[in-house]
Amino acid sequence: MAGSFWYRLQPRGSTRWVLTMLGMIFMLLIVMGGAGVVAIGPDGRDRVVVIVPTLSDMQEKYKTIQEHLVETGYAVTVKALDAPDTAEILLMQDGEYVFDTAVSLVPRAQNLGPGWSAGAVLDFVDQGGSVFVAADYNYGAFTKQLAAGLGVQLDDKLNVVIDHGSFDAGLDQDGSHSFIKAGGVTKAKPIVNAGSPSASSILFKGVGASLYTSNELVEPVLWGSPSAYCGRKFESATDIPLASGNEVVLGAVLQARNTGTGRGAYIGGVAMLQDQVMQLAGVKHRDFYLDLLSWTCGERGVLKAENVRHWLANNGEQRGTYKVQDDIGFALDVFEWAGALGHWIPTTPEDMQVEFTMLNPYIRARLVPLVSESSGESASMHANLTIPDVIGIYKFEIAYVRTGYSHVALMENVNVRPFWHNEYERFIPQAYPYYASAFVMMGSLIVFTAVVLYGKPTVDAERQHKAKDAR
Amino acid sequence: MASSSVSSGSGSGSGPKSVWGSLKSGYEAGVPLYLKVIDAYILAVFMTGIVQFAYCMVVGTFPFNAFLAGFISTVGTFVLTVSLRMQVNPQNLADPANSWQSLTLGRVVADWLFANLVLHMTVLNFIG
Repeated sequence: MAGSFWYRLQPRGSTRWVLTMLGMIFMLLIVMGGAGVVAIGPDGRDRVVVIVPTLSDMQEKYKTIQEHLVETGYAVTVKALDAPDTAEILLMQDGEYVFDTAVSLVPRAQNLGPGWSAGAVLDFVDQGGSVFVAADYNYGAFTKQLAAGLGVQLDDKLNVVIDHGSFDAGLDQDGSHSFIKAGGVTKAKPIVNAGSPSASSILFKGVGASLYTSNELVEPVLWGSPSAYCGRKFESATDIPLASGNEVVLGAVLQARNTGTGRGAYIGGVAMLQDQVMQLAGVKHRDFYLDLLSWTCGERGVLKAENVRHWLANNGEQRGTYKVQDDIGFALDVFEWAGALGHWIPTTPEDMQVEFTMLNPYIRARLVPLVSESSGESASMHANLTIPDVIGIYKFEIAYVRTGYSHVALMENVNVRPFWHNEYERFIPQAYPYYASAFVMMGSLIVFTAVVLYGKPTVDAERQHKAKDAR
Repeated sequence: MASSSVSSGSGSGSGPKSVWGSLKSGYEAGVPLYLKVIDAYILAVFMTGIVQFAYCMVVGTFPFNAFLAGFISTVGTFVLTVSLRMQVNPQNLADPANSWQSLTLGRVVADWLFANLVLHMTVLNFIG
């Protein structure tokens, strides 16, 4: 952690690029010297832009965040809206995104300049970018639209979250009970970095929100206690609030469907990220917000699944067509990006399932780790299946959607054919009476024919005789 | 001898036993030997079918195709042999309307054998 201390702060005009190059060389030297472990987003996604209202804010209010990002190994660019040079920094240049993560600490801004509309930032998330957005009670149009795009509906402007039952007495100086303790926090391991913070140690002051039910990708990560509600300070609540109790969303995350890295995080109070609160509120508060930020950057919970394979159980051969009732094996390799190590590590989730689907799933089987004999550990998740007795075109389908993890969605088609005519069992012991019967019938024909035609007295003679009698 | 048994059977009054007795004596007296031979064959075929069905009820339907083949071979043979018996039964020839049935025995048996050939080709295809 001692090394890799560089970032682009306050670049000016053409010297910006020189500084950038110098910084890169400097960092390269440090990394090559093995001075420290570099933890970054998946596959080297380390370009973060932090958007602040003024340049001085960066130094005065967000030093904790800045130092955290830089020490972790990110290349941090500061876009200050008041400084002409940095205000011109674009999100996309020459058709390519310049950054991997955007951190918006400008809740009041109406717009962030050309190329930074809320729609453009949401497109950025769709393309695999990450965005961390902080709101506040006096939010502007940009923040409102961006939050709405992430599935978060902000309360009316100037409303805050008030909690007369659970507030921080030390920090709530004006007596409005709007500096509250959270009532609940997510248990998703990647987001809270495998810790289990107690909700009451995480503080919040800012605007309340609820989640759009139409957005199925967004999940709350921090919410109010049962006595929390959205309202105006020092005014009695006469209207039904936007949300109350556990429904008051203080923080939320969104995992985009398309890519592993496309993520959004929302926090209703920008002040929670500022140095003053970070110091006063304690280490658990600080860790939660920094973990949320590093999760957004993709340090944890980014999954990748590859090497899907399936085989016939008796000879291990992979086929495009299986026969009904075949016993087969199915496996795939799952990796999780380990930001702290800077590479993909094998992972074996406990609750991953594979479905064998033709319109509806015929088989749903849990995948278990396939332990390799050589190394003793493996990334392979594995299941044994028996093909159902229905022919058709099936697909192996994995739809793994868990809060805090990127989605794993895989499909692979296989055909299932019936038995060929020569593949049925023959000479089954319990069918021998039937075989015997059929052949006895055939043998008896010959004997019976002989008796009828050549028996004594011959049937024919007697028949003629009787026929005469009958007439 | 046969006629006396018929009269004694009818003379002993009604009841299942006397009905069975008159039926038996009538059959013994009125049915020629060669029809009795055919009847014995039909009965044997019928019993083979019953035995297969009972076996299937006991061990289950698993090789269902084999069961069907075995059972159909007995049912088919039964039906065809009953047809043969109808064609060679002199009583049926007494009616002038059935005079077209007065075929030679060789022709009748050849028809029966051909029908059985078709039947057993089906059975062998089915038996697995």
